[in-house]
Amino acid sequence: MSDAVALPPEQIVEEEPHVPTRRLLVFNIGDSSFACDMDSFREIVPMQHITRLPGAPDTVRGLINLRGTIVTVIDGGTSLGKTARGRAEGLILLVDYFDRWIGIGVDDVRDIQDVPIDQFGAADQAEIPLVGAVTGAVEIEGKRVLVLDIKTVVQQVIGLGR
Amino acid sequence: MDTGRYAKLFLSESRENLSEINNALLELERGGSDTAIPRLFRAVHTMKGMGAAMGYTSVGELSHELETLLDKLRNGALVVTRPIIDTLFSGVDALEQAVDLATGAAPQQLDVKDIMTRIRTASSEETAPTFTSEFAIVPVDKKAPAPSGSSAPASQAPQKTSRHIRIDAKRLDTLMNVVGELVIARDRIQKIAEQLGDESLLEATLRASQILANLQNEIMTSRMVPVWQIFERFPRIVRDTARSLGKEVDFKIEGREIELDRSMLDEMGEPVLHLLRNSLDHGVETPDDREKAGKPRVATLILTAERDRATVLIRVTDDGRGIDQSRVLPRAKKLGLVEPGTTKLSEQELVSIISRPGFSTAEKVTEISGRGVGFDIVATRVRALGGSLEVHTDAGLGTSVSMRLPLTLAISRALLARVDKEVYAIPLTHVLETFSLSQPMLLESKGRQVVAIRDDLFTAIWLRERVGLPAAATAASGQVVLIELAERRAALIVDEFIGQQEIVVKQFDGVNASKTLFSGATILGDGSPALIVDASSLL
Repeated sequence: MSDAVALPPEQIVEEEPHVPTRRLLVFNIGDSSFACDMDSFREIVPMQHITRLPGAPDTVRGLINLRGTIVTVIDGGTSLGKTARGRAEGLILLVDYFDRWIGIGVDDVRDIQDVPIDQFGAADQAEIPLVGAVTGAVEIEGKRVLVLDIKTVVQQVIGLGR
Repeated sequence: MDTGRYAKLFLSESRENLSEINNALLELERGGSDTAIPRLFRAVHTMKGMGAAMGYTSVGELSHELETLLDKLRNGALVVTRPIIDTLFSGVDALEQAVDLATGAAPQQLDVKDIMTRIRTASSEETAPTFTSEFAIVPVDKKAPAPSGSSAPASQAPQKTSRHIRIDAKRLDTLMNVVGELVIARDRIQKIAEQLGDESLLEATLRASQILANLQNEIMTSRMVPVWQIFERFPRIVRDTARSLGKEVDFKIEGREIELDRSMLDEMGEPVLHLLRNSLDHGVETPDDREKAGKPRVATLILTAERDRATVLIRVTDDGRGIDQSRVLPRAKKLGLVEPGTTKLSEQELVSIISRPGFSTAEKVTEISGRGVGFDIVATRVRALGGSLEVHTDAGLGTSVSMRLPLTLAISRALLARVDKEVYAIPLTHVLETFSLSQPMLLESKGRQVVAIRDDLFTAIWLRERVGLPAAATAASGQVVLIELAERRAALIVDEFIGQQEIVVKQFDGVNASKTLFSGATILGDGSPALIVDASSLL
């Protein structure tokens, strides 16, 4: 698909590129941005009362009551090695994980973007503390964003749970 | 026909039929051909029809071949021999595989050529005179000749219309969850009504509560299923395991009709299987060894279900060699689990030692019970279900392991207690008594802090400390909960009691120690989650 890249800019506007795209959800934690495939997420809910879970590591924030179901919420900041802005504010991204839901606390959601797959670059696994969670990097609005496999993030923090 | 839609139904009906076939085969093996063969024939015939209707050719053809063989046994053209029984067992195993393959995620047909040839060969070995007249096909009920004047033949069950329907178990789970939510909402309304002090509102709330209690009870009952639904498959497994180990066992099931919550029962299959395998592998001796020990060559293995008040006991008893203390003790000492000078372990100590992960006295790793992961799996599972484990063993005479389980997982009563700003639920099943803590009650004994209650001393456990909170400013304030589990007691100290409440137990994804500290979570009246303290992890 290097042909498409070589085209002058005017022609790209004229013609839809034939490169397939991935729909990414871009979220912020502190000064960093991350992106994950949109279809990994089921729902986004505002931050709410979280019951602390004694015995769990710092990467786990605790439990929330999501319409009668108890959902474990991961601390996005601690898990991804970044300093989150605040704990009281923010959003919880809900991920489908083995027939149940796991939440990830983030500062806010920046965008939903369709990114052509040829724009995905390589990234160093060591950029975050979770092994195997980084699948690549993309540039969005001039800012480099790490693309994560959210299931791996959850698995690294929660294990198999239950 | 839209086979996908019916595949699930086919699968569940097949399971019932296969289990019936297996059990009838076991009966046949024990010599009960009079009743076993008709049972077998009926079940295989049903499988054949269902398989053909679904277009599962492997199931249909294999059933047909089995039916042909069974027909010859039924009409006396063949007599039951060891090779024939083995062929039938293999045929049923293949049938089971064929069902699983045909109904799997990527449906396919099992290659049944070889097994069909084997069955056909067995069918054609005419071992009995072939003079049998056609009349001999009619099974003769020798045991119960119909009394004269009786109009209904004894063999024919009265045909009544079935009043049962099949429901996806998930629906019942959802229903149970919704009722759980309703219970929480009711508590909230009740609180508001009490605050308002409005008589008529309180009365209406009370009435709604009674109806809700009825609803809860009805749904709970509808979720109860008899234990035989999971026990059914055990006779066959026990037989195969015993044979592979060269042991002879008479396996009995008692209390098949005892009912347990479905979600609980689903969780029990694996632990029971572990215990049965453990008994066969480690408990039961070889026939020769048994004879030398003056015992009958055939061992007895009993699986019992029994109702005891609000709990159900599931027990596995064998008359094998028992758990040998002289083998457990050295291992326990080596691992530093007991004092070096210990010469005898109590049953309680024995349970806690053998249920440690990885602890095993088995000399060699066998395919049957793995590498010391058996008992700890059972212990963990039972504890997670809010139950407890008891072991009784007599060296040389046998072992009995009992799992005591609550009737249902879903709803129970708990004491809500506060430490600092956090609320925890303590299941009432483990609460004996509660007291206010005062300075004179706190003592030190053998270097440990204890609480004196009447004439007894109990180990003091601060819930604060267990949940990782800093100690309270004054140690001797707060409330004491005397908790008990399997004859062990301790004094759990909390800041304050909030009250008793019916709680809906929900599972959550725990990490590390949080998995053992808590047996589940529940939702409080204000909608926030609260953790349920697992008494067994405290003791």
